[in-house]
Amino acid sequence: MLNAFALPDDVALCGSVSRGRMLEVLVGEFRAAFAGIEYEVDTQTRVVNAQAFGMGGSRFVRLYGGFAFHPLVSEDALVFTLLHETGHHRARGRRFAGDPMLACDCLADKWAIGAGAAALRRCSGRVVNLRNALDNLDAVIASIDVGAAAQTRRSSRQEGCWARSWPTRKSCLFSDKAPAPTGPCYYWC
Amino acid sequence: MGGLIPIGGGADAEIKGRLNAAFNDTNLVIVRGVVANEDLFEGKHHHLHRLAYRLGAYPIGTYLNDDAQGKWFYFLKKILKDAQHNGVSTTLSIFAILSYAMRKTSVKRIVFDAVEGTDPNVDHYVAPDNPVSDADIAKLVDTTGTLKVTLICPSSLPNTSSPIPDKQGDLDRDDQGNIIEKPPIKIFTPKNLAPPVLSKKTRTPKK
Repeated sequence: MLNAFALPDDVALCGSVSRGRMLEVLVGEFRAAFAGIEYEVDTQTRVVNAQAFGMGGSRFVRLYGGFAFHPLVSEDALVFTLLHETGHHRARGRRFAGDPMLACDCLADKWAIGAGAAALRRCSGRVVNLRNALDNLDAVIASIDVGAAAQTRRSSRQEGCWARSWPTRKSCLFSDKAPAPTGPCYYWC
Repeated sequence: MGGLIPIGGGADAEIKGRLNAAFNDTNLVIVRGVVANEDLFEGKHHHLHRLAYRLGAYPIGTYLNDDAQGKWFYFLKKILKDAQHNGVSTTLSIFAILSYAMRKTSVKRIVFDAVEGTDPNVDHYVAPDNPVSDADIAKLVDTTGTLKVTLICPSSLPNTSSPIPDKQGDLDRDDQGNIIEKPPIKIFTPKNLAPPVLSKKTRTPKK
């Protein structure tokens, strides 16, 4: 988080009581469905992102305030994001070459819409509207970081990982035609 | 790694990727070989920005309207140098961790990560509390030999840059002003630490 994007001060965060309650419920559902992962919402920051990480033997998923309370981020987008971040911890198979504790992005995505969504549905009855979630994320990403999109498009063309580019990632998630990844992931995500 | 959206348009990932590559299973052995000739991580006369330069652990990518490289060197040279937490210098903690990794062959690799802290009013520090003793650093090593260094960041880096430290005036010197850097000055280049080019067919590194 050295170069994290923070929502500008002139963009109002969605700090309503109902939003706070919705986040509490979501985090509660994820804690119940995926034991062993600590879910946190960092309300003190305007950073627009979410992150999975391991520290001191514990596994964390954190929603940063600029994302959790972003006016463009819907409940579906939050659910998909929490599933994706949980997938970094729970998906089996391919890991980041640089951090073997975490599954790579494409695997985390596949887990999110498959095993992760199914586990969440079994535990809490929650169903995620994937189209709505990805359309929301599309809008958020387009609004914050045009450079990232261009950069990742170039990288994905060069090295062929669908998860490195948001447009191909979105398209693969919709079509469910994402190739199964093998070997360690060398991409920097 | 593990972020939903590429942080800083991917700059953070590039920095972490190069740091992780500099201390991966293969390169850690090379760095240990260099340390046998020059104690890179003694922490008194060596500087983090110089070490990052010599290790090739700095971003070279282009990021829209963002001098990621200059900001990274400014961070190492100024911000991290002055950072304190728990009464301990963050730089000292980093040197102690790297030194530990050089001495303990049970450490097979070092993995770096950065996480936004919940308190914007503290300095950058290494989780949990800027460890410096061997006993505390040993707790960062898991059963597979991965030493995990997590930097807690109070906020994003300021838009202030330092130049790449390849100038004569930037060389590390002892108390008498003698240059203490020994060849190889450039242990790795960023290119050495780049992800391998993958075969489209097998998706594994090309031979």
